[in-house]
Order: sequence, then C-alpha cells, then structure tokens
Amino acid sequence: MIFIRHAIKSLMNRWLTVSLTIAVIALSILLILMVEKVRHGAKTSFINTISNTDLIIGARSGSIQLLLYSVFRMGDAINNMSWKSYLELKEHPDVAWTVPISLGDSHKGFRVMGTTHDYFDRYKYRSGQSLSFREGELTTKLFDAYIGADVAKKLNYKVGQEIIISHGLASFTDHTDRPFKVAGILNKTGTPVDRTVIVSLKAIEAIHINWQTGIQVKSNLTTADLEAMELPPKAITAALVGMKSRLKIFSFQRSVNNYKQEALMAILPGVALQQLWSIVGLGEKALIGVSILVIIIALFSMSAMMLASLSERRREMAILRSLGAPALFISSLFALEALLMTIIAALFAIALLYVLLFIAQPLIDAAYGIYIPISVLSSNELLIIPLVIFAALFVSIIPCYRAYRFSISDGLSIKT
Amino acid sequence: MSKKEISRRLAILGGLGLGAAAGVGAFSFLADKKTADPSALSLKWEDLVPMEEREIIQQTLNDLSAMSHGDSLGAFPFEAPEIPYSMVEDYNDERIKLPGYVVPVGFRGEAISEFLLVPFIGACIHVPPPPPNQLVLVQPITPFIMDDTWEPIYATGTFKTSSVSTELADVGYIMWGADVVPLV
Repeated sequence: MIFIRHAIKSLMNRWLTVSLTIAVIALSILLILMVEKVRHGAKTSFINTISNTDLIIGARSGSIQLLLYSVFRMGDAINNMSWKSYLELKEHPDVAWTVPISLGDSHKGFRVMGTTHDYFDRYKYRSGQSLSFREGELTTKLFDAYIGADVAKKLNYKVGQEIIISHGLASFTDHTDRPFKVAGILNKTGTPVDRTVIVSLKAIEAIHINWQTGIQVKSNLTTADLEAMELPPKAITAALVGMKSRLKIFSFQRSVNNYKQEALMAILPGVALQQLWSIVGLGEKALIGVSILVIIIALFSMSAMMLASLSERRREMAILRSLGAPALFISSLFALEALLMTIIAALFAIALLYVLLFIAQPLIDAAYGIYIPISVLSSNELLIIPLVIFAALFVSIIPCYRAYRFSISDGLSIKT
Repeated sequence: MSKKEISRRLAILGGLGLGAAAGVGAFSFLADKKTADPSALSLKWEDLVPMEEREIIQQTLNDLSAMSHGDSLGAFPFEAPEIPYSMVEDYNDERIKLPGYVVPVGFRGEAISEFLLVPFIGACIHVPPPPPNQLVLVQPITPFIMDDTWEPIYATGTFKTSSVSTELADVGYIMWGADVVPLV
C-alpha cells in the first residue's frame, strides 16, 4: 500500500511533466481507438448497404461494376437488360421475388431510380432493416416521387413539392413537361438510398415516351392518358432477386450467367461487397499501422521522460535506500509509475473517445453517411488497452534497470 | 561485480522474462478459447454423395470423350446437370465437422451470420457450380469476421438434410449452431 501511495505522491510531485506524458499517451490511445471505431463503422455501413438480397442481375460486365451502379449508384451500366428476360427469370421456380430497377436520369445531381413498390418491401439494409417514411407514404399515382433523407435535406424539399427530372446524369435537357410531386421522404439509412430519388418504373417509361429519337419531341399526352396506358418497360438496368432457398443461389446464378438470349450476369452481393472492400479497405490497414506507430512513439517518450527524471531523483532514491528499501523496490517503483501513467492515460482516452464520438457522430453521419454507433468498446478495442499497458511496462524496463543500477552503486553518496 | 549481484541480476531478468511469457501466454489463451467440439464426426465432402451415385458419376466421366470446357451452347434454361444427385441422410442431427470455403450470404454488422460452405471457390466458370449435395448452408452460433474469404475453414455444427424446395425434389444440407475455425 505504501508502495502505491509513494508512487502516486512521486508522480504528483512532478505533475507538469507527468501530465504532459499522460496527455501524449492518452492522445495516442485515443487515436487508435478512434481509428478502430471509424474503421468498424465504415465497414459496417459498407457491408450493410444491402442485405437479404440473394442475387443481383444485370447486363454482363464485372461483379464490382454491377454492384457499384445497382447498389451504390456509382458509375454507369454498360447496358440494360431486356424486360423480356427479366420476366422470364422472374418465373423461374426457385425465385421467390424480384425487384426491377432502372437508372439513368437524375435530379440536381441525385440519381433517379425507377422501380416498383416491391422495392420498399424487399430492399433491406443493416441486417434486415426496411426503408421507412419520415413523411408521406406510398401512393399509386404515376408521377409521384419518394426522396431519400439527404436529397430532402440538401434541396430542402417537403412533401408536395414539384420536381423536374433531368435527362441523363448531368444535362441541360429537363423533362419539364412531366413534373413529379414529392409524395414521401424516407428516413435516413446511411446507404445510397439517402441520395436517391425513387419513382415508379412506369413513370420512367412515361417521361421518355417522346424521346424515342434521342431528342425531345412535343407530345400532347396528358398525365391521365399516360396513367391509363400500359407502358411496359422495354429494358431495366438491374434486378434484385431473392431465392426460395439460399441453397439454390449457385444453380440459379449459373443459369443466369448461361442465359442464351442475352448477355446477363448474376452476382452475390455479399461476395461482391467483400471483394470491393478488400480494395477500398487497404486504407484501413495503413491507418491502423500509423496509429500503432504513434503509440510506440508515445511510450518511448514516456521512457525518455522517466530516464531524464532519473538523475534528479537520485537523492530520493538514496533516501529510500537509507530507510531500508531494497534496490528492487526502487526499480519496481519506476515500473509502477509507468503502469499508473498508462492506466490513467487509457482512462482519459476512453472518456475522451466518447465525448468526441458524441460530438462527431452526427457530423460524420451527415457528411459521409458513415454511422458510428456509440457502443461499449468491442473485445478488439478492449484488447488494445492491456496491450498498450503491457508495452508500457516493457518500455519502462530501461529506466527501471537504470534506477536499479543507480540505487545500488550510489548508496548515500550522491556525486552531483 | 560480485557473485551475489550477478545472481540477483539474473533473477530480475528471469522474472521479467517469466512475466512477459505469462502475459503472452494469457493473450494467446484468450485468442483461441474457441476450440471445435472433439466429439464431432469429421467428414469429407465425398461422404455427402451417396455411394451408388459416386459410381454413376465415375461412369459418366469415363463415358465422356472430352470435357465440354466452356461450351457456350449448353442447354438453356434451367436444366439440371445430367449427373443425378441425391442426399445422404446418414448424418442427420449429428454434430459434423466439415472443411470448406465460405461464401457469405448474410451479415450482422461486419460479421458473417450466414454462409454457404462449399468444397471449392473461384473455380473456373466453365463447369457447373457444386451440386446441391456439395453445398451446406451454415448458420454460425456467433457471427464471425472474416476479411479473407479465400481462407479455408472448419465448420462444426448440427447437420441436417433439408428439403427446402420440394417443387423440384431438390434438397440441400444445412448446419446450425456451428463453430467456425480456420483450417490451419
């Protein structure tokens, strides 16, 4: 007990250097914890962009490209798939459900996606969560649009707002003759849906009805006319597919890939997401490497601080010796001080982490769509703390050993 | 340097060494607390193909003059491969240990919560995927993180022949409550 009390008092006596050292270690631990939290949040958001969908079907290209445009709305489809093929695949006995999606138009920089009402039932994210409406609801009107949370926020749209969809992804030609009305605003999901304007598949056909030649021709069809028309799409961009049994994924994937009438491909979203992450995720390893280096630097600076304080503490050590303290006691006093400093630093780091997360979480979510849950430390993160403490003890061997040597050789006669 | 001091120094070094070893030991113990059930029956993939079928497959292969590698004129649509397949029911409700590769189909957080266990992955695209009796749908007891899906694993869990789709008399294997450990 006197041992610990002495170590604490000794640390308090040198509070300025000690608190600076603690700050350095705390910041380095904070850095690695923060990196780990952000990495975990980014990967979780990423992997959970789509769930409960067994296969994605699109024109034959590459699995990552298909994933990028169908799920992340990045890049373009190299081709569409025909509606006829879609209907045929939909009828396959192993298929439980399909949702067609059609991309290609935009609204003020946000992608417009044509789909059916099934999308709202079938599209799942974060382990099976469904899309839900913050305002408004699903309607059956042809020219109704549903917008993601980011679209609503950035463009400041409310339910009832009229919007014009542009032809292409960036253009001066608007579908001005067919304004849409915002019928619903979705809750924030942290997925690309937040940045999407969702309309019906039929509406996509309807706004392109007078575009058959590649340029817009005036048409005198009214909305009522269009609503009455059948307007089956000729092509869609991709389809989400759910199987009756997941054991059938491979055989159905095979039959899509071998589909004779059209060059199609089917991908497993989970596999494609992991492939994509293995490319994107390289940065995470670099970040973790750097933060481990920072911790090592912090620990060495602690060791240097203890070494520097050694010469001014020779008198103290001599007094302890004269009071009967064995040399081993003195050297382990240094180890205890290192231990105390690291533990205090770790506690500070954890406290600071939660304060920072509390402040930064909504900002990161809004800016990057990465949702970092404020949760207890995971076992991985918890493991960092004892590892750092262990490393600190290891690093303190140098000053400990010096102290041991000094206290034996000096005795009571201090040469300084 | 006195003899006493040397022995004392050695004692300190020894103590430090022991401490370090104990620390490392404690961590490695924590790391592999999950060991597979030793009572589980260890199977090979061919055990999941009925005996008579293995002979048929052998016969079919012998009859083939050449492999139709990458034959893009193959049958469409949705025709099962010529080789029949049926299930082995001998291992129902038993604890089974099976090696294989992970094809993730369900995630919880960044961890895999459901996957297809297959005997090979990344095989050439010209031959059919593994038939139903060479696929196991596995539900791990705790979702696990796996960054590199090219790594083989052992899955140990309760095994069953499942008839999920009855329409085509097609069935498959499932395994639940499974422990997943790296093969090495």
